This record gives sequence, C-alpha cells and structure tokens, in this order.
Amino acid sequence: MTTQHKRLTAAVCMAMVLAVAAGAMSGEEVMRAVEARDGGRAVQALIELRLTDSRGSTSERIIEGFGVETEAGLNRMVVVFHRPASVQDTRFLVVEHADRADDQWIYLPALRRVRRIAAGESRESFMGTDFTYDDLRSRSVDDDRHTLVREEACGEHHCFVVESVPRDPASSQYRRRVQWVPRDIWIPTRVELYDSRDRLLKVNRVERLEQVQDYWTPMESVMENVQTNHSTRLTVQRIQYNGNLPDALFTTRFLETGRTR
Amino acid sequence: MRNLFRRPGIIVAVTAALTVFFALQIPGITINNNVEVFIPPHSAEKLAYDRMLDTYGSQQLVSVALVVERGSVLDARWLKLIGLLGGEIEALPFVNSVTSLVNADYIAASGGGMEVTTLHSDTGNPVADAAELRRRLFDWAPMYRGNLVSDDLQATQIIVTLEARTTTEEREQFVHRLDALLEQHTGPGHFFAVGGEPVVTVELKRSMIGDLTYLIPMVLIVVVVVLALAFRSVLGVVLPLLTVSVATVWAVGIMAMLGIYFSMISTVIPVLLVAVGSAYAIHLYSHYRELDRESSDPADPIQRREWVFGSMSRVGTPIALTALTTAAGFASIATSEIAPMRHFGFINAIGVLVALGVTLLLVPALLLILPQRTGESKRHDALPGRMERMLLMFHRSVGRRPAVVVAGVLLVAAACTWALTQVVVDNAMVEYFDRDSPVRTADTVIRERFSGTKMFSVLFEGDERGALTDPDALAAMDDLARYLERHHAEVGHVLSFSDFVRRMNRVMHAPDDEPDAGQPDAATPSDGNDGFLSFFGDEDDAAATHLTDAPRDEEARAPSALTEAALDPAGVADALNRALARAERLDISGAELVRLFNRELNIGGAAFDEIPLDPQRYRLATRDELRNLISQYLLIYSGGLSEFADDALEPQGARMLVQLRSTSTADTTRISRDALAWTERHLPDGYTASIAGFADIEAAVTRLIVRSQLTSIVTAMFIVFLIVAIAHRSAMAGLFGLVPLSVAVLINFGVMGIMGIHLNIATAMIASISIGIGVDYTIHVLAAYRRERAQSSDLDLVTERALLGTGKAIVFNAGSVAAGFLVLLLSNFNPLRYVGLLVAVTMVTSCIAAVTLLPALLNLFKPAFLSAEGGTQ
Repeated sequence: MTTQHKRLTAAVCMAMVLAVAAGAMSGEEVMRAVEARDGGRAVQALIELRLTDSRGSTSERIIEGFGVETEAGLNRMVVVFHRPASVQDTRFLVVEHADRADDQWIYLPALRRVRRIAAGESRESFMGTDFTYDDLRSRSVDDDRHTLVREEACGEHHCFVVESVPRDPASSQYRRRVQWVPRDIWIPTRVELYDSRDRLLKVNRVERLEQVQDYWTPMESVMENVQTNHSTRLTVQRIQYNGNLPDALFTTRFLETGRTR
Repeated sequence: MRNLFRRPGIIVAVTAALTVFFALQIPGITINNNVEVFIPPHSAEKLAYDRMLDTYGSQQLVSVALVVERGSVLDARWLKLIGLLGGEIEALPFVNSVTSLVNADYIAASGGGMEVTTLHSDTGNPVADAAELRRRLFDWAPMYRGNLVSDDLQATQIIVTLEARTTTEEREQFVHRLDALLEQHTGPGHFFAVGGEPVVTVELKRSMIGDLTYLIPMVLIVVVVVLALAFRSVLGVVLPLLTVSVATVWAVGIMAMLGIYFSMISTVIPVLLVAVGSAYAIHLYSHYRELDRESSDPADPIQRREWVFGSMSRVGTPIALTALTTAAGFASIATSEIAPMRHFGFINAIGVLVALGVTLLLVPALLLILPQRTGESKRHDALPGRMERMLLMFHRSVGRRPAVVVAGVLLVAAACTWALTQVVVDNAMVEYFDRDSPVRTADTVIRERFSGTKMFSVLFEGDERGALTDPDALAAMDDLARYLERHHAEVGHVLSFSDFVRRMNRVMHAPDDEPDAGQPDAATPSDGNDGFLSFFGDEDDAAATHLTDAPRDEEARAPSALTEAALDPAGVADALNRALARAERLDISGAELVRLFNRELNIGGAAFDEIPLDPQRYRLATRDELRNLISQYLLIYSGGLSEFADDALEPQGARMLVQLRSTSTADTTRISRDALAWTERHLPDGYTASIAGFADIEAAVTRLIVRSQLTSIVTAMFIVFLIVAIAHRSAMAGLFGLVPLSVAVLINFGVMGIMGIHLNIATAMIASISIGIGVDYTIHVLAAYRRERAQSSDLDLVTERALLGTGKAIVFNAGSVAAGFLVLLLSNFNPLRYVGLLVAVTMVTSCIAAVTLLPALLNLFKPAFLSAEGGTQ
C-alpha cells in the first residue's frame, strides 16, 4: 500500500504543480537537476482541468491545492474540489510520514463526515482525466535508467531529450518515457509516454511556462491520449508560492468546517 | 469450336499457367472466425458494440479457471499459484488487466473510514490471511461469488482483459502464450480451464487447419475410388480429378486475391467442389468412352478427334445446364447479409463455373493430346445394369400407382412440416465443437462453476450530464439487476454501476467503531493567524457559504447497536428475530439470515447497502443533494469505474454487465429483450436503455441466418423455376420442376427438427446447396420423360423408358455427390458434420423424388407442355 499512498500523495502534488511531469526526468545528470529544482516551500494553486473526449464534448473540473513542506522534508497537502458543483467542497487531506504510510482523509459535504481513506489505484485515472496517479507521481531518479537521446532547440529554450526506462518494468505502467527538459528551467515541457507494447500512448505538452515569484511554473499544459483521442487541459488559474498557509489548514477539522479557526 | 482445339497444347499451357498463378496466391489467405466477421459492419448491433467499446473500453475477456481436486482454492499454496500466474499473465502481450482472487479490489469500512485494498493481503501469516480472505469474500459476496470463486470454493477464476481493438492474430498470439504458460503450471491436484471468445476463435482456426489437411485427401480418395470403380481406367480417374483440383485451386486462389477471409464454413469449399465438380468430367469422359468402345481403330488420331467433338456436342449442353443451375444455387447463398456465407456462395459458384470451363476446354484438349492405350478395359461393369433392374422393379411395384406415391409423399411432407416447426435456430460458436472437445469441456467447467462465459451489457443513458447519479435511475438499475438474477435461471451474474454506488453508500455509513486516531486536528488550530483565503471564493462565494453550518453532528452518524447487543444475549436474540422478520421469503438461507442480521445491526454499514433514495433517511433536504452525495462517492472511486460509467463524476451513461450461463443465442435474445421491456416499464422519464455486447452480436448473427435462409431458398427456387421453365418454354414445367426439390428441402428440415440439429451458419446453407445440385436430377428426368412422351402415349411405357434412359446416371451422380459430402462426417465441427450428412440425405431424397414423385405427378396431371407435339427439345 505504501507506493499507492505515495501515488495518491503525488496526485495532490500535481494539483499544486510542484511536479508537472509524468514522473522524473533525464539522462542521469539532467534528471538530478530536475529533481533538485527548488519548487518553493509552500504553494497554493487554483487549477482548471478541461476534459475533451474523442467526440469533442468537454467537461470541467476546478480544484484548489495547498501544500507545505515541513522542516523534516515531509509534505502535507489539501485539495478542495470546487467544480463540478456536485462535488463542491469535497476536501481531501494527505499527511506524509517518514516511518509509515501516509494518512489520508476525505470529507464529503453531502455526508457531512470526514472519513479516513486507505487506498489509491495507481494506474487508474485521476478524476476521469488523462492523468493517472502514476503520471502524477514523481519517480525517483534511481527507478529508471536514463539516456540522453539528443539535445535540440525547443521553442526559445535549449532542451535535453532524455529517454527513461524503468529498471523494474512492473513499477511503471509505461514501457518508456521520452522527455524534453529545457536547460536552466528543469521542468519537462514535453513528455511522451509509451505503453507496454511500446506504442505512443500519451503526450504531455507544456504550452505556457511562466515565472511566478521567480519560480518557473507551467501555467498551461495538455495531456493527450493519442490512442483514445481523449485529452485533458490543465490551466493554472492562480498560483502563489510561499504564502501564509496556517498549520490548521492541514487538519481534519479544516476538512469538516472549511475554516482554519 | 474445332478451331479452338486446333492447338490443344495452348489450352493446356494457359490453364496450367493460370493454375500455378492462383496456387501461388493461396498462401496469402487469412483465416478468421471472429464473430465480428459474421456481422454486417453497419448493423445496429455492431455499431452498438463499437460505441460501447469507445465509451467503456475493452470487452475482450479471457477466463482462466483453476480447479483444485482437494481442499479449497483459498489454501495458501493455491493463493500463491494464483498470484504468481496472475503476474505472469499480466506480462503477456496484449493484456490490459488481470483480476484474480489475489489482486481484486476490496472496498470496505474500516475503523472510522474506508479502505480500498486487494482482496487478499499478504501479511506473512497465511492462516490469518486465509481467514481474512474468507471473511472478505462473504462480506462482498455479490461482487465475488460466481465471479472469482465457485460456490464450493474449489475453483477460482482469473479474468484477463485484453487490450481494446486487438487483431485476430494478436489474440491468437496471446492464447498460444497463455496455453504455454498454463502448461508449465499444470501439475497434480489441479487443472486449468480456459474460456472466452478469443480462445474459441483460436481453437476454431486450429480445428479448421486439421479439417483441411484431413478432409481434402479423404474426399479425393473417395472420388478416386468411385471413379476407379466406374471407369477402371487411368484417364477416367485422372481427368475428373484434374478438373476438380484446378477448380479448387482457382476458387481458393481468387478468395486469397480478393482478401476474403477463410472461415469455418469455407472448409466445405474444397470438399464441395471435388464432390460436385467431378461429375462434369465424368459425363464427358463416359460418352467419349462409349464412342471409343464402338470404334474399330482407337489409335487413329483423326478418329479420336471425331470422338472428342462427338462427345462434346452430345453432352456439352446438359453439362453446362447442370453446372449453371448448381452455380445458381450457390449464388442464391450470396444474397446473405452474413459476409462469410455470401463469400461461400460466391466462391463456390466461381469454382463450379471453373470446373465447367475445365471440363469443356481442358479435358477435350488433354484427350486430344494424351497418348491412349487401346483395349484398356472395354468391359462395361455390371453395376449400372443391376441399378437399372432395381429401378424397373421399383417402378413396377409402386410407380404404377401414382396416387399412392403422391399420397405417400404428402404424408411424409406433413410429418416434416410439423418437424420443421421444431427446428431450433442457434449459432452458439462453442457448440460448433464436440461435446468432449477441450474447448467445450473447458467452457462447461467454467459455466458450471462460475457465472458463465457469455456476456451482454444493458446501457443506460440519461438526457443530461450527471443523469446517472440520480437516485431513481440508479434504483431502477439496481432493481433490474436483481430482477434479471431472479427471473432468468440462465443469468449467472449481474454487475451494475449501481452495485458500486450501493457499496460506497454502505461503506460510508458504517458505524465509527474506533475513534479516529492520530488526526492532526487533535490540538486546537495552532497559530490562529488565518491569513489564508481560497482563490476560488474570489469569483464565487458558494464555497464560503457551503462549508459553514455543518458541525459534526452526532445524529448524522449511523448508529451501531453492535456493542450493546453483543453484551446481551436477549438483545442478540431480539435482533435476530427482527432480522428474520425482514426476509422477503420464508425459506431463506443461513447466509441470507446473516446478511439480514448485519443489516439489522448496521454491521459494516449493512443497513445502508442500498441506493440512497430517501433524503430524510440521509438527513439531506433535497433529492439533488442525494445526487451530490452519489457524485461524491464517485469522486472516491476516482476514475476507477470507467468500465461502468462514461464520466468519473457526473455520468450521463452507465452500464450493467449481464453474464449468462447458457450457450444458446436464443437465450441471449430472450433475456436481453426482457431486460429492455422491463426498462420500458420502470425507467424514469428521460432515460433510455439499450443492449450491446458480444452475445448480442452473436444473437444478431443468428437472427440474420434465419433471414438469409428464407431469402436464399426463395432465390434458389426462383432460379430453378426460371431455368426449367425456359428450357421447356412452359411455366407449368417450372412448377413441376420445383416439386421434387421442395420435398427434398422439406425432408431436410424435417430431419433437422427430429434430430435436434440446430439451424446455424453452416446448416443454413444445406437447402441452397441441395437445390443447386439436386435440380440436375429433375432436369434429366423431365427431359427424358418429355422425349419418351413425344413418342408414345402409354404413360407406363414412357415412365419406364425415361427411367431406364436417365435413372442410372442420376443415381450414380447422386451417389457420388453424397459419398463426397459424407466425408464431412470426419470434420472436427458439428455443423459441418451435419452439412455432410444432410446434403447426402438430400441428394438421396431429391434423387428418389425425381425418379418417383415427378413421373407420378406427370402421369397423374398430364400437363399440357408434355403433349405429343412438343417432343423435340
């Protein structure tokens, strides 16, 4: 269950755009640089997810994520669901522990109760989007073998193109990943994900990369499943780094009341 | 014509070259028996299936059943094997997912929350793990029973979902790899059974190749034996054999060139062409031999030319006429909407025409070229003489009393008409195989122990986003699931989107029997410095208002009576009795009692194992809030239900999977129609239901077979009528020509009804095949009768002479075609065996009808077209 906990945790990471990419990065050094990138101590982000299916019909989700890193380097995260209206004010809390599995709680407003959750399916879709929990999780650099395929210009940046193959095939739903990592930014701007039969399955493209409070932030990106023609556009509507996020935010009391006092 | 044969070598060379060309095409042929090949691509059922594939993902399931002989599959050693095997299968190519007793999701309430875990947790204590696994199996029995475990716990199923849109070849590859894998794991004390459509398709191919390598030599041997008996000469054997070989090679070569799939029924093509096509060369050669016999100097080449052309002019037209009618019979099958049947008709028609062409071109050319020894067995064998005597004897005993013959036939026809109503239309693929074949045995093992190997879905659709979170719609879905399970014995299991909603409702309403430990809110909010503000509230204040007025409300918690009751025996007894009083029937099982007891005490939330319907019971103000509640449950499943709902949070469409224990396509049709009728009565306004799935396609193919059957019989009959009517320039003649065939076809269906032979894709072609071939006998008898009638008015004498003139040839022809088709009795497939048997029977009956009933009718009614002046044809 531990890995699943981590993966669920990572889902929340995604919500906060701490880790944009479907996993980790590059030809080992590029990779380490990506991993070492400073993403801020605390972050709050309002994110819109727009799902488009093969017939072109769309649906929208809006979520808000809060995350802090404690002095011990452990994460605490809250996700609040705003849209669709039917799940409005559903809140979700993850507390990471050094020595045991993460704690997770969910609050369902229609139930008016907080429930502890022990779960998370890694290979399944996150809220029906094209992101799976696996996609949202940062893989450790050591989980994969990385090869620098080439270097090339990507937009106005200079990119390292890195192919990553899992050391243990069972640890990933993908046969391999190819990522484009711009130098000095260290956020993959394009990720190609190949399925178990090595056919291109999904492509994640960062369409707008901006500096917010000196932190590089992918403001808009699209994850497209090229096999099903289903896609998810992720837009950061607002983001703030290192703001004042009270400890009371990361409590089940907040889940129930929506208040920090 | 003589000019054509001036250089016979050219004909031989061209034919040889073309035959080599077509032979080279044959290796490119593709074998495909997938049900999807049989259904017209634009049929409603196929479109529904494709749409379902788009919305709900792969529908290709393979079931691997593990059956143990002693103990239960829950023993540690078997669980280990299941886990190991599951992992290995998951690593096979084209596998999308693997669900087993070990890795299936288990969702349950646990200590003030919920857990989603694997059904079997390996904590390192096998005894405790096994006990926990048993508890979980009972706890969510509707999910697992008959699906992952058999009721006797001696069998378990590993369910493999293949990737969507795999090709037939890819599925084959998978099945072969799976077979190899299971081989490795087979050992004493247990065995495997593999089922599902991909497995059946692969086995069909394997058996077809077996059939082809076995049946073609067999039919050739039969024909060689028949020919050798008849002619006792090398040429008499070689020429017809050559004709059919060339025809078969061309037909199959053309099939390959046109990219037509070779399917189970195509296996009949070579057998059929050999049996039917040899007749043409036989006729030509036997006439040639008669001339040969009369000749004084057989070695004289000029003389030989005369014989060849003499035979051609005498029998060329009748041969062409019979070949054309036979081709027409096959062409009538080409009216079918089922592609493989259509192709079968088309290719056979071509094959017959090629055989005709070869007989009229290649055979004469060869006769002109080949050196022939003289005096090669000039003795005419005794067999036809005996046959003539038998025919005469027969005619003199009953044939002279036409009324008796007609009355007898009417009696038989009446009996067959009754039997015809007993014919069952069913095209279950698995029934193509023998009852004791490995596929069939495996299918039976799985059907007996689990919920079945056939599946269809009921798809629900609302008129707005989120329509399928509506409690009324979900309750209707839930009721339908229970209705199908209760009212149709063939329904093994129903798994519906609503079942997952029920489960989550139950889990979320389990009593908090353990205080939440370790929550970070134990302390008061720390710094009190609330500088935080939701970004979302900026544009919409709903967030801020919504979350205020709901402090933890003790009443909202589901009560648990467990603790008090457990302490008090009287309380337990009382609860038990209250539980029993809730039973829907008086004869409930122990398991049902436990379920009711749990419900009474809300153990694990059992009192809420329902679709939330009543807002009050859930302390909500409106039904809309119930809808929100359901959406929020779905959020917890978070995309995990994509096989059952078209959206993760606000589904507009949702699905119910119905598994059938029966193999019959008729059951699929009946049950799916009943399900639809039920939804029409009970679904709320604004909702529609439809059917899709593999079983649905299979049932649709079956329905098409019936339609094809009717069209092709009518078409064949009409063509026969036309040909006979034109040949005799009389519509009345056409009608008389139809009678013997109608009787033969009726007897065919009568036999099917009496013997319980199903009308399926293969047996549906018997009628057309028989009409096409059998009409030859009618044509011959009619022509002979007419010829004799022109010379005499003594009907008795006319009949006798007509029978003596043609009877021999007809009986011989029918006998050899029947013998050829009987080779199909050696096929691996039940339907083909029946085709062999029934075509043989029909050959015999249509032949008998032509030599008895037809003259009897002609004698009885004395139709005008046979008046003495019309004697020349």
